[in-house]
Amino acid sequence: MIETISSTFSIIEETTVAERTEKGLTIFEELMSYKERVFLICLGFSRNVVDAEDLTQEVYLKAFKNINTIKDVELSKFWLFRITRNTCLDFRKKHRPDQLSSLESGMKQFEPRSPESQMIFHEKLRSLKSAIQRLPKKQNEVFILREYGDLSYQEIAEVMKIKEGTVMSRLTRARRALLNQMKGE
Amino acid sequence: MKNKNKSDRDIPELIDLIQKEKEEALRIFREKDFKSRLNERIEAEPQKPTRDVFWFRKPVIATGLVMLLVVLGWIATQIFTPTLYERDVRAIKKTLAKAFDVQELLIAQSVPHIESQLGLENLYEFEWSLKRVVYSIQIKNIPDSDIPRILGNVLLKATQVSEAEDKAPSGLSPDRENEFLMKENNFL
Repeated sequence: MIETISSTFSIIEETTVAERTEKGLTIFEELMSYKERVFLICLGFSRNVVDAEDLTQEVYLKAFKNINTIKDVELSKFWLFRITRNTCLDFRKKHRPDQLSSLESGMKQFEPRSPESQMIFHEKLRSLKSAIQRLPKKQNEVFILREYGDLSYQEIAEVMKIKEGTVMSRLTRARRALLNQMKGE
Repeated sequence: MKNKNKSDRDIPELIDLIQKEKEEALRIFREKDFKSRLNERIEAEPQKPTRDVFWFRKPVIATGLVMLLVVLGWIATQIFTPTLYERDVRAIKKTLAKAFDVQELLIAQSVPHIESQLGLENLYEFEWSLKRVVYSIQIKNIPDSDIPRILGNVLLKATQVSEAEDKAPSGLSPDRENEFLMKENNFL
């Protein structure tokens, strides 16, 4: 992997010095450790596993192309989550909720449950996902970053460039709205 | 309040549902080799060294555009700035445009009697004679020393026309009049 990345870097970054490329590679390798969290955030935004995988690839591809634009290594994690959020929001703009493929796409065959419990699980999941989709945009983003990406309040605040207090209040409102919606169905 | 408590009690169920979904999805995700697939995608991407190529950087493009504008401006000034000769001609034309309004000039000079001597038509002809002189001076590169002589001829002819008309009260015949017309070939 590193060899391939190195070779690609050598083509893309013709003008950058070797030292900087090495630094970029190291950062990229560090960012790879967040791939599951990125995937889960994408899952929250995209509604199914297949799309989430594609989006995760897209996020890392963007990160790879722009890795040398990172100025502060300490903040690279937030930078990656910001790319994730923006990529997912772009995806949403292009794919209206009714155009999304089935929620459980790619999931059924792996689930070791009885058909009945599997059906109940998917029904509840479908109901939850559509309730999440119907949340106001700001609440929806905070909820997904928190519950799917397991981001802390501080991380969410950093990614969305809002205050932690705002994150907490939006999250509380989002949870209540979700419960109300699911009860109403 | 009761409702709120009920909602709060339901939240773990909601989180649990999400947790199960995440576990299922992660299991699928882990089964596939994400790194190698990403690797393939990076290799498949067209290599466009756009962002970090020096010549495509925004400040470089902006500087280049400014320099281009400066060069174009300089070329434009070279093309459209009149030469010394053209400037002289323009200045002469501008001056003569006023100077050749002979009637106004005569009035301004308080010599209206010339009009009565020459007659309106002759004054007009006189004006055009002068214009033809200046035109010829511009076109034929006539030396400055010849200009007084040519202008003298024009004035002389104008006087001759006036005198001839005085002698022929019924007016000059067209042939006779033509003799006095100041053309390029009879004043040089």
